[in-house]
Amino acid sequence: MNLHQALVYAYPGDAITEIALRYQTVLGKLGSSRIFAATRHPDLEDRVELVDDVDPAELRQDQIMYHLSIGEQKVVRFLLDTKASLILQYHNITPSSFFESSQPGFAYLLDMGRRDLEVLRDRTTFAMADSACNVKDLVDAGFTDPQVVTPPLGILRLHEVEPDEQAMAALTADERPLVLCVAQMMPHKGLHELIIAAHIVTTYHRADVRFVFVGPGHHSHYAHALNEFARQLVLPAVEVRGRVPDAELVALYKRADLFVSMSHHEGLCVPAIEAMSFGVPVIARAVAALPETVGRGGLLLAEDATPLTFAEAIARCLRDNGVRDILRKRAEVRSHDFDDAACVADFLRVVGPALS
Amino acid sequence: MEQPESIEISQLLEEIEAAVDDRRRTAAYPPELESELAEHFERVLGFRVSGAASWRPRPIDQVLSELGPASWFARSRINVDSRVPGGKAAHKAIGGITARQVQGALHLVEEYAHAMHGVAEELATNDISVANALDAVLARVDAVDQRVGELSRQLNVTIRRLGDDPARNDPDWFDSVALETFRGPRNALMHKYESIADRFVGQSPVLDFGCGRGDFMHLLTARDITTIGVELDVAVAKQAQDEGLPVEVADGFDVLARTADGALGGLVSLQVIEHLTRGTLLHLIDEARRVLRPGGLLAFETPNPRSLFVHASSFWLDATHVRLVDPEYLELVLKMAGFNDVEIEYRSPLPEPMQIETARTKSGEALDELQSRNARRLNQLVFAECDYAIVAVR
Repeated sequence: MNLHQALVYAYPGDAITEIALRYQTVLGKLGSSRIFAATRHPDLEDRVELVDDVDPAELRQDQIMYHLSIGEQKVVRFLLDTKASLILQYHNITPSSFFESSQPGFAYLLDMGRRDLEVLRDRTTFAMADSACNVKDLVDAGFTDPQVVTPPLGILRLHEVEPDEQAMAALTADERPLVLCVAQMMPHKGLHELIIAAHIVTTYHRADVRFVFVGPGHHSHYAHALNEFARQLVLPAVEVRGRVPDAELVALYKRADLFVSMSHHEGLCVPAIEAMSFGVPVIARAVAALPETVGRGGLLLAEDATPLTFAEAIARCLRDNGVRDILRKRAEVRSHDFDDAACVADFLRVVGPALS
Repeated sequence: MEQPESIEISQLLEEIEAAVDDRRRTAAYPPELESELAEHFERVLGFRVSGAASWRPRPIDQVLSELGPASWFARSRINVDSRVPGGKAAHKAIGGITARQVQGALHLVEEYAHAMHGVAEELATNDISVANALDAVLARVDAVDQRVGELSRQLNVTIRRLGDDPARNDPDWFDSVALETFRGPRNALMHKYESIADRFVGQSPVLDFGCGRGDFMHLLTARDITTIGVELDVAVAKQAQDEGLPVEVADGFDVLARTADGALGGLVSLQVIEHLTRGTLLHLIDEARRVLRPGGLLAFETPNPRSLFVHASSFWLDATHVRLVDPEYLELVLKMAGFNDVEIEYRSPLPEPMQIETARTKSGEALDELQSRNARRLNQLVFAECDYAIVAVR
């Protein structure tokens, strides 16, 4: 059995690329398993092939699993040209409405991703997604009987990383409670709302709480606005760090007292799973895939919860050790559901019949 | 085991909601708190035109999105309907006969559309790259701008200090030395301000306007009060920064100007307002009222003009002093600006040996009652407390 994979772009550190590489390690033991992409980081030349360099005809007898999260016609055209039977792994397409005013070009590519779903639908023999929320997207796009299959997210990978010594020492020396938020610096992640909550917490509940924001996109206009907003609200306790090395991220997870997400849309929310695996109590909005991701592992506030409610929840959890203990235990238990070995076994069980 | 925990979490959610409702009902939060903050963020977000936000005109997006579904070609999309009886069958038959040619033509058109799509998407991708690059460049410009400002300030100080005679060439340098010399040891100053620091408990965040070397900020921090400081003097500010205090080297009025309405719980300015002109002092008070939230606390400390000793001596030890501010005048100005519960506290009494003495018996009784009263009056006029603090509630 030859099961290959295709994705839009491949570069180290990208969540979907890392998932594809983990799948490749498993599938390589069962037969030939290649990865195709439209663009590729030079470090991945040995493991990822460019679609421009591959003759589609040679894959006629094989199967290809396509990781779809954004529109890319070059890869879609390549898939259609191969005549191979297709398996779709859907990673969620963020609704373009979040970006229409701020990043219309990106919004267009998201819309094209939904178009690609329709184009590929009739060629797909089996479709799966990493959450029930995403499966619903597939059903809405006309796919028959799509399944929930959580891909190997590599959560335990972070536990093998030694925390950065300097960062850990600085974090430990500072005894103030630490609230951590890990998310891309994009408006739909609700980071500005969390800064409002930070203002409410430090002004009306307790002054000594730190809020650290981590995630890619810190050069964006939105990220600059977050910094300026915190500065104008006189919030020295708010720190927008941007993307940080894994060693620093691990130090933050190990030290954090709470992980908070005010995001309005998540296809899965890997950072919440990472936080749970480090036993960090999670507070999140019960929206999109967050209820099924966090499950009983955290405190889920109402979908329309405002910064006042988040501030109240943060303050309550910080002053109530008992609540934090319960959330911590439940987070650790929940995170085991995302172990790579369990995910791969689940994948083979579900996809096996389609492969044969 | 699991069931009780579920109940606890659901109870916790209910308690959180109830607490929020309670705080709203009792007006513990200012009305419209969230909406005003959200509007403020929108203003911050819209302050500067961003590459990503404005780079591409909307009509191009619409054209591209319309191009998508229109460019997928298939024989099944060719309409063979006809109003003529039997026309549809005829069209289908002709289509069948010419199927290879139709398929070939479709293939050519499809290839052309594919190339067009590639160009369009390349444009869209480049567009995003350029927009992101523009954002990154703007970020670098901001960082460089900030760094140039810092270096410029440091350079000015260094150039002044390299002069032959620091006292002659650098009045600021001399004034900072004089300050160290005449204000007294740090411990004594810290102790003096503890009662004012106590007033700010629960008023985070507090801005120390003209924070100097950060003595008062240390007192606030020790009371778990979040504080930031602003100081014009680079060397003095660095001393505070080296001690881990969040002090910005800037003009305090610039910091106030960018501070959001009601963002502060407290504003303190010790031994600063005597350096300001009348108009600048009034501007400071107006700004203080704007940036303090309702219930926020404002505190000034300044030399007491009701002591002739201050007029004759101590006030002029600091050559950068501009004018004395009368406590009654300041109280009136604060009330007119909308502050309430204004309190004045006279501070820094002179030691007794400096005061006019009264003739007394060996047992300590006044020899002459009239002389004693006059001495008290004279002491009050000449040797009254050197400073006063004024505290007001927004």
